[in-house]
Amino acid sequence: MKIECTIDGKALTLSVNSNKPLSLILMEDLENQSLTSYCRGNACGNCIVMVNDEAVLSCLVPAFRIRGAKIRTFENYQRSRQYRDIERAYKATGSRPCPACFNARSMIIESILQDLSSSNKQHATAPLAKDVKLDKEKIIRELSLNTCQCMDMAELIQIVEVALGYRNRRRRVRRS
Amino acid sequence: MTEKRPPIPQLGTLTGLIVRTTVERGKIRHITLPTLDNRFTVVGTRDIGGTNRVKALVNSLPLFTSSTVSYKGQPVLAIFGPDSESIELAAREVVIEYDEDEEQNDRSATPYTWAFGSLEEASSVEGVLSIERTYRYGEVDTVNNTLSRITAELIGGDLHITLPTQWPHHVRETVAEVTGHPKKRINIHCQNFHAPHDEMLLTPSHLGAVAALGALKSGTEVQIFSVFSSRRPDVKIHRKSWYTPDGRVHGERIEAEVDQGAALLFSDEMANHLIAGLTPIYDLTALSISITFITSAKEPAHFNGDLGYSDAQACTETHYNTITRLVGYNPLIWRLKFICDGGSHAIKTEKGAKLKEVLEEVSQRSGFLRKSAAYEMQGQMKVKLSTFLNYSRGAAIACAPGISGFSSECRQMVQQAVQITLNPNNKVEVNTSLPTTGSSAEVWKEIIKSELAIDKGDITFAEDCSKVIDSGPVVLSVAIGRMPQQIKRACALIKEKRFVQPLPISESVLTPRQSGSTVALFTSNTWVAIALELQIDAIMLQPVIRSVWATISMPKALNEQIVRNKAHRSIVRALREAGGVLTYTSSFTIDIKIIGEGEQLPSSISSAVRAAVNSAFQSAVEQALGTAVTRFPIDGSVLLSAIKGKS
Amino acid sequence: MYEGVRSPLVYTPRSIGEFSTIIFRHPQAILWAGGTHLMASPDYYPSEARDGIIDLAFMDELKRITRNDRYVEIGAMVTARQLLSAGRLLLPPILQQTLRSMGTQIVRRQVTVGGSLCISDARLSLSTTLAILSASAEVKRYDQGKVTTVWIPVAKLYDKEGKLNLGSKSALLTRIRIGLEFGDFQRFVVFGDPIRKSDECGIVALHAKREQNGLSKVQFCVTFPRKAFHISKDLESKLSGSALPIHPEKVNMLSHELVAELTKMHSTISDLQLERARRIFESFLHDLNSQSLS
Repeated sequence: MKIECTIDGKALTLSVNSNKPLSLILMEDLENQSLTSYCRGNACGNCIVMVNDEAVLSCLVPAFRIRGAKIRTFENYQRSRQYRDIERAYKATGSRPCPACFNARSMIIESILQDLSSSNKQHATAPLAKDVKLDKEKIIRELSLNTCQCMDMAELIQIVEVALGYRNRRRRVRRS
Repeated sequence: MTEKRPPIPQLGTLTGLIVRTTVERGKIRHITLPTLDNRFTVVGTRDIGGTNRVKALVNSLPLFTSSTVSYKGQPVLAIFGPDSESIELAAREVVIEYDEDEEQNDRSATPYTWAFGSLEEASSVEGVLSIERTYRYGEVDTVNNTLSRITAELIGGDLHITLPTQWPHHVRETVAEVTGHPKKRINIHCQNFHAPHDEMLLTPSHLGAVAALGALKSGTEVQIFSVFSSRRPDVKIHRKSWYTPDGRVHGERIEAEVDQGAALLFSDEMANHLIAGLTPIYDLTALSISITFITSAKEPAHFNGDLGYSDAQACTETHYNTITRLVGYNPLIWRLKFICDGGSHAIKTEKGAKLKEVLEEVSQRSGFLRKSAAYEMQGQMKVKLSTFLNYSRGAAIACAPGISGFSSECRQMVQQAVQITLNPNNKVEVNTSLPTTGSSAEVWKEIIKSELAIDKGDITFAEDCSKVIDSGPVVLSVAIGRMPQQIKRACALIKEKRFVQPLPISESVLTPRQSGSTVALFTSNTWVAIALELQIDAIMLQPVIRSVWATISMPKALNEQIVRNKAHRSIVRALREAGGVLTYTSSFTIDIKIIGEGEQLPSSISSAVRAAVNSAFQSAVEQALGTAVTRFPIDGSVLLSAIKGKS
Repeated sequence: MYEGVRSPLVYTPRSIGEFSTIIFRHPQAILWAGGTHLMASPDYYPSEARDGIIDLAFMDELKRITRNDRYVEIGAMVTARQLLSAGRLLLPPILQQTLRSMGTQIVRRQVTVGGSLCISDARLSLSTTLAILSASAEVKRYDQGKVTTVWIPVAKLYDKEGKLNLGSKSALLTRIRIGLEFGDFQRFVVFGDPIRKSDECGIVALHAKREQNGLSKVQFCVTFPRKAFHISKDLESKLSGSALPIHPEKVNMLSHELVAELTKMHSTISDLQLERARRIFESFLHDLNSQSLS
């Protein structure tokens, strides 16, 4: 089946089986270095990519569902300004995910930040996020998608909080 | 305009898959292959030009089996084809017929022993009592889904193999021996790897050899995608201790049985690490240790983060926590009274006063004495673990000396070298096969910078893989334990010749050896003490960690933050693997304090942290349940058995 | 494509009518909702779907949520995330909790209501909760050129081991209907990991109405994926009409009765699963008691 889509900014026509998982397409057909896990759909949480700006588990997305889609892997994402917020948070807290789950965890954190930022947008004129109490239960549920055992939730929540702070500051600076 | 992409990354590259056995024991009667056209290449025992073995120091295991099946999942052959789909479908059509055998466990010829003092005397002290327990340390339920890529290509008579590996020279040796290709014409290109359980120690050599066979037979580049995993050996430790009511332990007999799966690999050295962990750091008049290795129809198990030290040390600490409870002592007070100065017979350590300081510090910070006393009273509850009063708590303390590297009695490992060359213009080149990126390499650079007074930017690492020196396998924290000592020594030798001899000056340093008439198996200059508090969720039957406190005493670290991060990661990983549930409430902490004194290079703390955490966790669960818990890791079924009295 | 693997044809009907045409021509085609369960099976890829795949993602009729005074109807292709977001003010708390338990946001974007109910051999959270809410499902059966539509209570969609039975080899679950009257005591607990370790997992849900000092309309379901889908009419009737607080001895007796029933009817449930389910059930009753005393 011929599938036309955009992957990391490049418009491509792929010739793949219609039911091939996106993660295998990226790993085998496109040699994407940022994806290294294949758990056969068991939700290990290590194959996160963005499809149409929404984080998905790429091992659960078949080729026929990415027709016309815009796909972004960590390889491309790490060059973005949004990633800088998370990278700075890692540095500030002194904690980083291990190499096995680094890419996926960063993408999950980005997904959480997007969600928090979009709920902030509802109060567009109000001061941003300073006093917003994070729903820790919800964040922990999101973070638990990745099953790597290298970090505890307290560290990860701290990283999310610090990254959110950087992002909000950047948005404030941009607005002003 | 869209770019068209064909379905395969590079024309001519074959993708490979290993076909494995589906039974545990037996003999292969017949293999039926599907009809495959000339786009496919099949590699089996008949294609091995050299020997069908992957060596591991003294012992070895077969690359492929065409007859005897030793474990389920043993490689039989490899299929290489144009893409992963084709080879997967082809592999499904391979039919292997077996004559199945009954499982039998084979034992090693002679047990490994270690003893001092007289057990007869110790067990006949007046008023002596005894306690006997069997501890089991089993497989941890971790799943690794990371796919690594191994490629092999023959270019102008040279075989180029690219893969992640903890032991590049072993890959070269194995490929040379299996294929018969000259060693000088085999180039290993190492990729970065992450192997917290030593997944990349022997498996890359195995798969590298398979890929090399595929490349040689097909005449084209081949690649294999594979998940690398490692299995923890199953260890059963039976301990009988003789003690008196004043708390003194007089003698101990320990019998350990280690199931290493289908092959006994690194057993000699594993025995040394087990002995180091089983020998208590407390006053003891007599001790007898006997270790037997057995094989079974499981995947071979050897290195798994360490070589058994943390399990053995955890067992010792847990056992002594039990003894302290029997004699009515608080575990902290007991330790302060009976710590042996200078360590055990197996590990030469710093003075006992240092350990006492560390234990007191962690106890004070955690409020251990008060908590432990309070939780002991739970034993008086009538209805244990009722869903009505749905918690039960425990607190425990444990300690361990940190060790790294191979033991002083490890003779089979070739002495691993590192070479430093001082070139003109103050440029330094370090030649080592160990990974040259990451925090360990930064530590080496710091040492070289301070020893030779040069800029870090002028330090490079040898890249020509044909000239890289064998520094041995990246195991047992060698990069941070042993290497800094070697680098420091090499720098010292260069300093002697600097400004005297012309440049370049090159110095190679082998693994340091202990001197003296009585040489302990290991030396240690670090101590780790852990206090841990948990509660048993009486509804879910899970041990939930409330807090962990760690005090680490070590010579001054070059970068304390790195040590702290590593300790934190080790604690989290150890607790998760042990079966603990980590909460995220505001009261949950992992509080680490580092006491850095002295200028020597520190021994690694990773195994010590793992041992102390595992022991504290196990002892705390015992206190919370009020019954013995001797199986590890601890999951719901272990708790249920303990509650029902079937531990 | 690849030798030996034919790329499955993918059909994309845009209405139930179009779907009917396709399914009659290709009765063995795989129905694809979210695809999360299909892609998680061990031999999913590479494999041949000989009769093709019918992608339900373009059928707008299956994506609607409608309501009236008495019930709400949810299309089978509504995702868990959409339902949670749209039904925040409408749905019973137990259903919202269930939907939140179905993975993270990332997963919930793909999981569909119909897909979750129609997993052939494993019952998970949504089936359990909808069973105790007395929800029913509209099923269209395609047999011998005819289409029949029936409403089946969700509790009757499965056998005692939790295997799906839609009454026909070619059938489509189009929507579910949930009544808007529900009890004030609702509890839902999942233990273990239903996706990664379904063998050790269990789901317990209870729903009841408290009236004065008594209980009525108790509905209770305990599920062990791939092992059991258990609704105990006996326990429900013993609890309904009980005065509150329930005596601790009775709590103990009822919880052990539950275990006895489960052991008798489903021999593959492990001791640990049974013990956890029992403790959870007991804790629900203790909760009821403590609420009745406050």
